Amino acid sequence: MPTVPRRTVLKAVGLTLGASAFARALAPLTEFTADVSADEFLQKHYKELTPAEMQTILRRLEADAKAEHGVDVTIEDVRPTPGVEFGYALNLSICIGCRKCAEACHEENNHDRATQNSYIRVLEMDMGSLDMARGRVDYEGTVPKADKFYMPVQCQQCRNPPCVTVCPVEATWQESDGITVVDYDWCIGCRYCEAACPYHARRFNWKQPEIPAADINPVQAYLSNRIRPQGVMEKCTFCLHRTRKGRLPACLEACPTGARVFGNLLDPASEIRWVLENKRVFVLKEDLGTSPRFYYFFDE
Amino acid sequence: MTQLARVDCVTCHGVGLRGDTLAAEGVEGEAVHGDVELHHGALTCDSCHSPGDRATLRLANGDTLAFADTMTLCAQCHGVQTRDWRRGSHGGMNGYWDLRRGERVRNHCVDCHDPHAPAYKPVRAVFPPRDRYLKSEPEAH
Repeated sequence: MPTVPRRTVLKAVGLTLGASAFARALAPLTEFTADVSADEFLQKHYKELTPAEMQTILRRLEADAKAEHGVDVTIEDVRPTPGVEFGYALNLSICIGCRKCAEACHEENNHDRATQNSYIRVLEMDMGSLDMARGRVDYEGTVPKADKFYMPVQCQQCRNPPCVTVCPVEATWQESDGITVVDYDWCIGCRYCEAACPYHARRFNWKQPEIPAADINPVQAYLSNRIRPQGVMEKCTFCLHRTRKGRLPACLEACPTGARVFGNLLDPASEIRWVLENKRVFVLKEDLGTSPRFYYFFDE
Repeated sequence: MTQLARVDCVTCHGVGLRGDTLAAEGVEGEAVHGDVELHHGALTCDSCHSPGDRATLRLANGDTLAFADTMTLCAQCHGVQTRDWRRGSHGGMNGYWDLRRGERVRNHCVDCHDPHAPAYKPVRAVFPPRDRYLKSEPEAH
């Protein structure tokens, strides 16, 4: 019997092992084909996309929305306007804690219906205290209660956003108009940003949002209210799909008492600038150095 | 907000008749004035409504004022709120923050405040959160 050299045997064994290991390593790719297309898998970072590539992606996302939710939506890539930096102020003397803002956010931004997700939490606070940890969010019944005041908290659009610093894949960043955004198609869902935010302003999509077709807001933007995939982070974008076109945010329009003031911080004649210059304004957790663009104030 | 019947004021008050005179003659004002209850400081009907012409309002200096210009009347006493309204930091609004790109609709005083009882009425809170962490008591810092 001719002897097979040991070298040849080892080569064959090695090849077999190598080939099977290679196949095993590639196995996840075959699973992608079920719900993730090759285009989606190979999609580049938002900032690296050419306008043509972005248009292709937007049309694909619109088709996906039609297929998955049965609705015709328009998804745009709405860019910041030069010379605009957004600021928001909220009058705590006027807010009555009705949560209409949180509800409007829920509907505007295509949040999951079952979990009643919203980018706004309204804290019921003890009069005379600003201890946010003592604020309650599960109050019910008639508001405002006699010894309480109400403080809605959403993304503060910080000038030094800790959520951006901690992101390991640069899936979240601050835009020129001050809005911190998330590329939902780049986010890996590690939730570092959720932990880093001192304002508890970021949300995680534990599941794909489920919304009845008739309730879906069809006016959408890539970086804001398009229906998010499962397993990614999301946050308030000051309704950039509205505000970058000059409109007011949904939470402001929903406020029945007019507690909210929104506008361009770079315009000296703007209403937000008048509030900052004439009211007793403060920001949340100023000592952290996050430098929010969201301000609170009381009337004199 | 007080609901007044859609009847022109001058239907009853057109001949210069005041409420007390009409009441003395047995004219029933209830149906028209509905559930008007006055809780507005020490003000009385004639503080704002022209005594001789119920179809108009009256400023403190005696000038008459159309109902559409109510804000001017309120502004006589509520100067701080009027200033804040003019500066865009009092009262709800809809539309555009950038007025070069679109219109904006703003609430006026009586859209939110009943002039007869202007204190903002309590409401029921809507949309309670459904959060996994809600059941534990918050700790004091």
